[in-house]
Amino acid sequence: MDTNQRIKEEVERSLSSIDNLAQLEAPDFFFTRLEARMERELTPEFSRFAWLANLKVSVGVLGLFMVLNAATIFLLSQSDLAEANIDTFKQEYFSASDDYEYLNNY
Amino acid sequence: MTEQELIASLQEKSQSAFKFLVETYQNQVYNTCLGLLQNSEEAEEISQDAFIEVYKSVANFRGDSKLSTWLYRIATTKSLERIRKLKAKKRFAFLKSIGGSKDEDEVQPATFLHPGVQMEQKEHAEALFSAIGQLPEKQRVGFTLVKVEGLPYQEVGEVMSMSLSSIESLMFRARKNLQKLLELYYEKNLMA
Repeated sequence: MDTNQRIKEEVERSLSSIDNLAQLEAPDFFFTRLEARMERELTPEFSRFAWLANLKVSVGVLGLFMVLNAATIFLLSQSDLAEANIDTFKQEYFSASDDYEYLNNY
Repeated sequence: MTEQELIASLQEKSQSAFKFLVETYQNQVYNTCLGLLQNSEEAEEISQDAFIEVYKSVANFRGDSKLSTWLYRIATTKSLERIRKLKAKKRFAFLKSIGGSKDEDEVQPATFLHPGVQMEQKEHAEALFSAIGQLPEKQRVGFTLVKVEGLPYQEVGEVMSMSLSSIESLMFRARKNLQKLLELYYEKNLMA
């Protein structure tokens, strides 16, 4: 048989090879797997912090935060430590020394 | 349950309505994805993606088209996105192989045999699916929806947002391209 003729026949057979293609069923437990994936992926970020949506809890957390802040400010204002630290820092980094004589030693 | 009732329940995020939707359309969506992706694991994952997309965006569905048409549209769009990603990954793997590194996980099977193909058609169908994989995107989608899903041209037009005459022309070009690709394939294989 002529090769070109054979190629044409093979091409036609290929083109009609899926004419009676059977429809497949989705894999078993498709919905179960989909459901599990959705639970994993669609759980909204905010639900992890859903406890904050409870008014009593969120007011309590806010109150605690404010008390801690106020206590910190109060303790710092009572202490001389903060001022002493600032003075040390000033002396170390902003001393008025313009003495660069030490450079001549190199 | 009518389609309108189903859509309304889905828009209210009814779990039972969503389960009903998945169980009704899972075969349709899976077959479409499998025809386009030619890989059963990828097809299952993208089918899941399609249903998740439905769940997320059903609130915006106006009902201008049938639910099945909308699902076909989502399934084909998701499949094409995955095909593009896989092509990009393949190009990257090629560049990596030039660089000398080899990743065995990236090796894909050379041929795909659709499980719904009759045994006596196996070899011809393998050659055809390989050629379908080389078609431009629109021709690939159109040909798959007609031949694998058995959709009429009219519905393919609705899925692809194209007129009937455009689909006819698309299918003509797809068939011509497939003929050329298959001729090259058989020239190479029959001469060898």
